[in-house]
Formats: sequence, structure tokens, C-alpha cells
Amino acid sequence: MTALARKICMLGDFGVGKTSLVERFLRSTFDEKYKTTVGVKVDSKEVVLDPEGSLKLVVWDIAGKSALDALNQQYLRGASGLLLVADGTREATLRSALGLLMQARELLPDPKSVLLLNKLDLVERWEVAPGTLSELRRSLPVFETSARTGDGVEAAFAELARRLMA
Amino acid sequence: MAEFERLRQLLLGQEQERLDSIEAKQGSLPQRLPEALEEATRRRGKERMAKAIAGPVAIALGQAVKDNPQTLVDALFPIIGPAIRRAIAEALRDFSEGFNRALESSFTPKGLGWRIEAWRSGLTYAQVVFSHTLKFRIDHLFLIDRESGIVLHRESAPDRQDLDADAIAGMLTAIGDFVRDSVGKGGGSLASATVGENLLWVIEGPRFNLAAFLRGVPPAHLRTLLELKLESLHADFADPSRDLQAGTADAGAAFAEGMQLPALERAAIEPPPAERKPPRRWPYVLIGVLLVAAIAGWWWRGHVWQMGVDATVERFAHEPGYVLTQIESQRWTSLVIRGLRDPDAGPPEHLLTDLPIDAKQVHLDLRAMISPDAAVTKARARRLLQPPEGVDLAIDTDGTLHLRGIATQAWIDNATSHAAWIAGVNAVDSSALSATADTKIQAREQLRTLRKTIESLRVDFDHDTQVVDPAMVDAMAANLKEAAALASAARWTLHVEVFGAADTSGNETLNRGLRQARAAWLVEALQQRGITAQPAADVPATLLLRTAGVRLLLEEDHSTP
Repeated sequence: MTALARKICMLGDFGVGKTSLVERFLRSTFDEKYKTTVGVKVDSKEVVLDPEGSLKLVVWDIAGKSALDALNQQYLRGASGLLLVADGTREATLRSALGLLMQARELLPDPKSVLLLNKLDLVERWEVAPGTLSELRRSLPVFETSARTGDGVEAAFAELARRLMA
Repeated sequence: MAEFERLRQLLLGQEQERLDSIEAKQGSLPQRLPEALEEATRRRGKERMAKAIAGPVAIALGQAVKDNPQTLVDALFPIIGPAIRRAIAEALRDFSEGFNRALESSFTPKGLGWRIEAWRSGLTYAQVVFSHTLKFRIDHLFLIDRESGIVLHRESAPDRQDLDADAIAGMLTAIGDFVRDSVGKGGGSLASATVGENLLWVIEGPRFNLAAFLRGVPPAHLRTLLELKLESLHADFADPSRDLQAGTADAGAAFAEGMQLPALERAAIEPPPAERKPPRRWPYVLIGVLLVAAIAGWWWRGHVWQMGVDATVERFAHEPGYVLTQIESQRWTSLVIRGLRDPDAGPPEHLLTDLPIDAKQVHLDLRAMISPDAAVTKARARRLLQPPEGVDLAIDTDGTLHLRGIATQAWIDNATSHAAWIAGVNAVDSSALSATADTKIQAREQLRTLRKTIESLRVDFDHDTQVVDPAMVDAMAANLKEAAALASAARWTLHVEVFGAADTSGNETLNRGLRQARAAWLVEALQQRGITAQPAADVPATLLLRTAGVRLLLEEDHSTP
């Protein structure tokens, strides 16, 4: 039987590593060259959870923006989950991610959300204070990830999948 | 009165305040209602809200349409116009494609074959053309949730490589959103796309989209089928609360129904049974009858020909003086008869009359021979002996020639001496032959010859009774005088009858008068030259010339010994 499928959207400011995270999640690869996403790129991957079963994640990698325009709002339609991505070395991108979450909640009934603070491999240059992270963890799951090394990526996607199956 | 008011205030004061408050709230309801509706639609209970107001809204809408239909027409006009235009454009495009294909193939042998197939199957000619010319395959068919872009069901041809259906469906949805957002403000959407030999069709619905990945040239009817399928799915899954996520067992079976690719491909080139005309049986009957008639005609013609051949061969085989050596029959064309013929046998042309075969189709290749047949031998003896009138020839089976009658002694001597030399004659029997006096016999012989000469003479007329050559009358009179002398010696009585003739230039009444006048003129002219003659009672109808002539009648003269 076909696995259940859920649409999830990657949201975050430009350059935070959304596409790299998707590449790491889907194909376990990382490209040092920066690629700008135009519009949206859709991929899918089946996640197997124990003991919940399997779930197919249809990942919509939406072009990075600090706010959702009309077209991006259309891309969000029907999404069950959100992967909010921020760049740990740029605190402003965290604010953008939270702003995007607020906007998305206006459009979606009850999106499951996970926050990814990316570029863990550059943790020495992070601007986000640990206290801020602690505060955020009270309201939504937060994962410190690195698309370059793959740290935390699988776990973040798996957590979102688990929440979608709950 | 004041006390009554005060008492009422004491008894009903609280209730009055509550009523005032309710009335105040009701008064401000129009201002608060939109806000309350917005609040309700933002919260979780928006589905309940929608269900609650669905009934009253439907009733109100129906009443509004009944009371003021023009308002609804005005409101729908911007939607209906483009929809109608799109439908007409689609129909015209389909018609144009079909017309072009049908026209291109109309007058070719292949086109004629398709016409026979259409006539046999009860389909229209265009449908048969499409079924042969539209080679196409459906590689994949995705049923996509319009909102999320998730594939709810998919069908793929077994020989096509697997695709990441969810990713493709998601991208299609995103592209559709992009197209709609950027260029489809008037309600348009991405309907089709072409990549190399691959064609993509997207059929959109309010809840689901169908995406078909095709190769070749699909018929327009396929799109209609897909649209019908999408409409039926919307009807089946009208309940928005039903879980339609991909992979749910209940929806999967319903989605799969009617979406099998081979069935769709067949249905696309074969119209539904309602569009088929019942097969016409009478052409088969007609063809059968024509076939039987043709076979019967062919057989009958051959039979008649063979009958003709048999009759011809039989006639030649039984005719004395003929021997057939070879018969070559080319059915309905020619009959060649090869063989031998005695020159004294009957002419072959006479044997070809009254046959079931056309005489022109019979070709004779006959070589000469001498036949011992009695009839031919008799004819040969008659030719060689030239018996006078009054002499009969007969030949029996052993080849004996019997001569009977009266002849001059000279002829008898000549005949008996030569007859034995005639081929086929073994012996001569002249015992029944007797000689007569020479003068009478000779006179009669000479008169017979002269009679032929006289009866061949003609007195021609220029017009009416104006004779062309009067000397001809003198010649005729001289011959008649000689005939009269010979008749006397032959002991015959001679009667001369005169007849006239006319050509066909006048009517019968005029010509009859001319014939009588010319006969009378010649009677008189002969009388002037001493010849007694009478006009003939009958005039030969076949002589269509401006002429006149005589006939001699000879009777035995019994008055002299």
C-alpha cells in the first residue's frame, strides 16, 4: 500500500540553507556552491519511524524571503507541516523565521512546526544566544543542524514526521 | 399612577433592565454580525459555521434568483462569458483537427477502407479516422490534491520508468499556481504543456487535479473522458471532511475505478455505445443478393455459351460433306471450328443461322475434301451433268446413280458416259430415262433460257411515264417475238404480263398510280410493236425503281398433238 503523504514547506530567509538541508535530507549530499531557489522546488522522501510506521514527506523548498508574498502563500496551501530554518550566524534570520511562522499560521489551520538553526558547523560565529534558544524550545521543537556535516538534519525531519503522524 | 410605576419598577426592574440590554444588543447586531462571522471563520469551528449557514444561504440565494434574476446574471456574466468562449474555442479546435484529418484521407484507398469500416461498424467516418491516425499512449495519470499538490492516486504504464510522482505533482501544482498568479488573472490556468514528444495535460477541479502524461497525438475525446472522471470524483467526494490523503485504503479503490490506462486509451478512440449507430444489415443482404446474382449470371452465361457451342458442333457434325477435326472454344469470345468441307456440300453460312451463339463469334477454318456422302455425291453429279428440267437424279446407299425422266438423246448419251467418273458414283442406272423429239425439247430449252433474259430486261422511266431509253422497248419486243416463235415450237402457250414499279419518293397512293400507269404504257408500247400483253394483277413490292418489265407464263398447249 502507498505510504501516507504529507506536504511540508521549508520556510526561512534567503541564504539560511533550506535547499542544502533538503539535499542533505534527500540525498545526503552537500554542495559548497550557493544556489538561489527560484520560486519553489518540490521533492519527496519516505521516512520510516519506529514504531509509528512510514510517512512520505513531500518537501516544498520555497524561495527564501523574510515575508510571504501572495504567490508564496499559495505554495503554502495544503501544507501539514513547516520546517522553519534560520541561520545561527545571523540572528535576524531567526526573527524572519518566526515572522514567517506567524504568517503561515494565519493561512494554515494547525501546522506542525519545527525550527532548525542551521550552520552548526560555524557555531563559533553564531549570533543567537543560548538563552534565546531555551526560550524558543518552550514553544516549538528546535534543532541545531548543519547541512554540511548532516548533524541534526535527519532528526529534525524525523521529528516533524513524528508530529505529523501523531 | 406614579405609585403603580414605582411598584412595577420594584417588581419588574431587573427583568426590564435585562430586556433593555437584549434590545440594545439586537439593535447593534448588524454592526456586530460581520465581525462575529469573521471571528467564527478564523477559529476551529469554521466548518460548523459553514454547515450552519449553508442551508439559509441556499434558500436565500434561491429566493434572490427568483425575485431578481438579472442581478445574478450580472454577477455571473464575467464568469460565464470566458467559460463559453473557452468551450467554443475547444470545440472549434477539435472540429478543425478532425476535419483536416478526414479531408486528407477522404480520397485515398486507405480512406475508402476506413469508410467501409465505418459503414460496417456503425461509427462515423471521423471516429474511424481518429482511431487509425491518433496513435498515442498514456504514460502516467496522477490524481492530485489541488491544495497540497500531493498525489492521491496514480496509474502508470508498466513499461515506463518510475517517477517521483509526489515531487512532480508538487511542482505541477506550484507551476500551476505560478501561472495562475502571473498570467491567469482572468481565470485561466495551465491546461497543457509539451516537452519533446511528451505531452502533459492538466485538468483542474475545485478539489482535485488530473495530470496526464501522454505521448503521440491523443484524441480530444480523451480530455472529455478525463474531465468526466474528475467530475465524478468530485461528486463522490463532495464531503470535505473525508480523509483523502494518499494511501488511505477507502479512497484508493474509488480513485482507481475508471482510471486504468488501457481502458482509458480504448475508450478515447471508441465512442460510448450511445453514439454508435446500429449496424446496417441491408448492405450485407444487398451484397449477398448481388453476389448470388453475379454467380448465377456467370453460370447462366457459360451454360448458354456451351449450349451454343454444342449446337453448332452438332449441326456441322451432322451436315453431309463436313468433317470436324478441332473445336476451340474461348468462353463468351470466340468459337473456332477446324475441319474439312466438300465444295458441293451446303454453304457453311446456312449452318450458322438460328443458333444460340452469335454467328460473328464463330470462325471457320475449313479445307477442301471430296466426300463420299450420298447427298454430296448427288449434288456433285447435278453440278457436273447439268440435267435438264424433267430429269431427276437419285443415289442409293451403294453409290448407284439413278437417272429418271425425259431428256434429249444427246444429253442421255453424255450423262451415261460421264456419270461413272463422278467421285462417289459406283454405278449408273439410266433405265428410267427416255428420249423425246429433239425440236420440241430444244425449243423448250431455248425458251427457258430466253425467258430468263426477257424477264431481266427493264424499261426505265425518268419520271412519270417518260421513258429513258425507247430502244429498250424495241429490244424487249424483239425478244418476245422470238419467244413466241419458240413457244410454238415447244408446244407451249405464251402469256405476257407487264408490271410497273416506282421508287419510294412519293406516297403509296401516288406510287400505286405510277406503277399502273407505267405498266399500261408498256402494254401499249408492246402492242404498237405487235406483242399482245396484259397488265399483271400483282406488282412486285420489292422492286423500288422507276421501271417496268414483263413476266412470261408458259402453259402446255394441248390443242396440238
